[in-house]
Amino acid sequence: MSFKSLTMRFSYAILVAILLAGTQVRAEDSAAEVSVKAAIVHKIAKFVSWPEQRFDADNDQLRFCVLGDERILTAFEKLSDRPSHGREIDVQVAPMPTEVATSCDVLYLAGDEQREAREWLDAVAGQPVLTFAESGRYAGDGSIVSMAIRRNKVRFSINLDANKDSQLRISAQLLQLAAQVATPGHGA
Amino acid sequence: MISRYFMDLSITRKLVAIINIATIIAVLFASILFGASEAFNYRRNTVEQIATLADVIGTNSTAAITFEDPALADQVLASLKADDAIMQAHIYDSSGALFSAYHRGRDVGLSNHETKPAVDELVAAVIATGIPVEKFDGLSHLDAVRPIFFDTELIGYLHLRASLGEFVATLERIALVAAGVLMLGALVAYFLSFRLQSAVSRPILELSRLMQTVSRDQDYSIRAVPISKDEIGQLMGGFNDMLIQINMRDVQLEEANAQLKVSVEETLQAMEAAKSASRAKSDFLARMSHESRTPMNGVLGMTELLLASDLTGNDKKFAETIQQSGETLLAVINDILDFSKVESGKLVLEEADYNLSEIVEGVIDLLYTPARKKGISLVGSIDPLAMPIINGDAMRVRQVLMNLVGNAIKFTSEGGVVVSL
Repeated sequence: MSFKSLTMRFSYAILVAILLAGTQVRAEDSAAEVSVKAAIVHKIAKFVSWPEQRFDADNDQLRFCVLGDERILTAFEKLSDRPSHGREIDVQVAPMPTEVATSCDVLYLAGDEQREAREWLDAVAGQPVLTFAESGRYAGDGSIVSMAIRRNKVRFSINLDANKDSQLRISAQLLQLAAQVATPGHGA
Repeated sequence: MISRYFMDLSITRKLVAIINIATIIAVLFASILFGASEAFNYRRNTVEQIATLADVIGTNSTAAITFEDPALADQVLASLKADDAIMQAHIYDSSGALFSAYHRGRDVGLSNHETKPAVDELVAAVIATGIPVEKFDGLSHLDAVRPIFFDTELIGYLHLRASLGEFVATLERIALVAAGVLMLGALVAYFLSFRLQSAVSRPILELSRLMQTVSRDQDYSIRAVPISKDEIGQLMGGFNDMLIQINMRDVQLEEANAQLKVSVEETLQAMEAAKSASRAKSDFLARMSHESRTPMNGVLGMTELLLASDLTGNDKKFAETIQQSGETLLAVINDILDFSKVESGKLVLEEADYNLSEIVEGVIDLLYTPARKKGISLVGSIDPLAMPIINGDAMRVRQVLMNLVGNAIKFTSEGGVVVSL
């Protein structure tokens, strides 16, 4: 199947995927923008698989941690009744960097707190934590997924380099949504 | 009637017909079974293939559906170009709205007008029940509609429409092969049956020919030669036994016939001997009585002359006795003559009208005196209504009556004798 060859093609690539989200979002309509972002994070998480040993009887929830921006936390909580990978979703405020690697499976770094993002990203580097960052500014700095609003649509890009040691497996179908592809050294 | 017509066919034709009909029916059944099994397998395989393909396509479109990217879905569906059998593909979102479509040989677009209502109905049914459906559209197409699940969530529906051109071609090929096998089988059966049927029909025909020969020539020494130990062999054995028995009866019959001839011959000879003996006796009697009468007439004539002379006393008495005894002897001789005439068939009865009452009266007159001498009565009773004129031999009737009444008087010691007419 063509997907297999696609996977091969992308496996060593820094992939920058631009998704045209179905709903048009105007930049000034921030409440709608936030909930669309949350929905997209929720969907992306479905296409990413975590190593099985990360979950056990005591910890079988998929934990979403949010740094900054209360609104996205609320938006996640609204989605928490829709399970992902058959697991309930637990939404919480991101803990201190020392605990974040063991307490979070998804880490969302909201725009307001991006000054401190570096510290958290370093803390989860090489750990099975799916990291999201807003705007293109920090995308190259180590978050696996970067969220952005371009031409009134929510788009995302995936940095396969950042994901290299995380043990997270990202579905080829998700990667196929890429609009631009760059090999290492030519990162967009 | 076919069965009547069949029953009247010759054994050879009957056997050939039976073998051929049985063969054709067997081949026909085998072909139908083979074809049905092929068709069933093909159908099942096709359904499985399409279902598998639908699952693959469904799985591959999960990202496109989840992130609502119809262009990507179109791309996924476009990969169906590789399969010539897939004529249409549609992806619907979880609400049932058309999300992406693929039509072979055309630009991706809306459903084509002919199939749309049926497909919509099928999709609606799957949306209502959640159960995957594979439905044949005649012999030409198969529609498969399956829900698409991703991460336990129902995200949409996929419809595939596959052409079954190959299926129809396969059916046609099977029908062609079956027809070929049928014709070949019939041909082989026809020639084989002609060779094999003689094993059964030849002995029967031989037997039939033999029977005709036997009944035509009446030759019961002919024997059938059994060439097999089956029922026909037994039949031939039975036929031979029958011929042997008939032959034996024939011989016995001939012997009996010969014996019969001999005994008939003997009987005829004996009869002839008896007849000639009887004739000799009659001849003798006739001759004797005839020859005896001449001297008797002499005796009686002389006695009459003697009585006419002057005899006295004992002489007259003696002469009268001689006359009486002579007359009696003459009567006996006459009777013997009559008897011999009867026996030799020379007695000729007269045929003339006579009066019976006169005869009765005459007999009574004659015998009245002897009866009175014996002391018994003799009465003649003649019914005036009786028809006294009779055609016959009056002399013989008188003779019979004389004898009867004479005897009656002779053997009656008391009372009387009555003659009634």
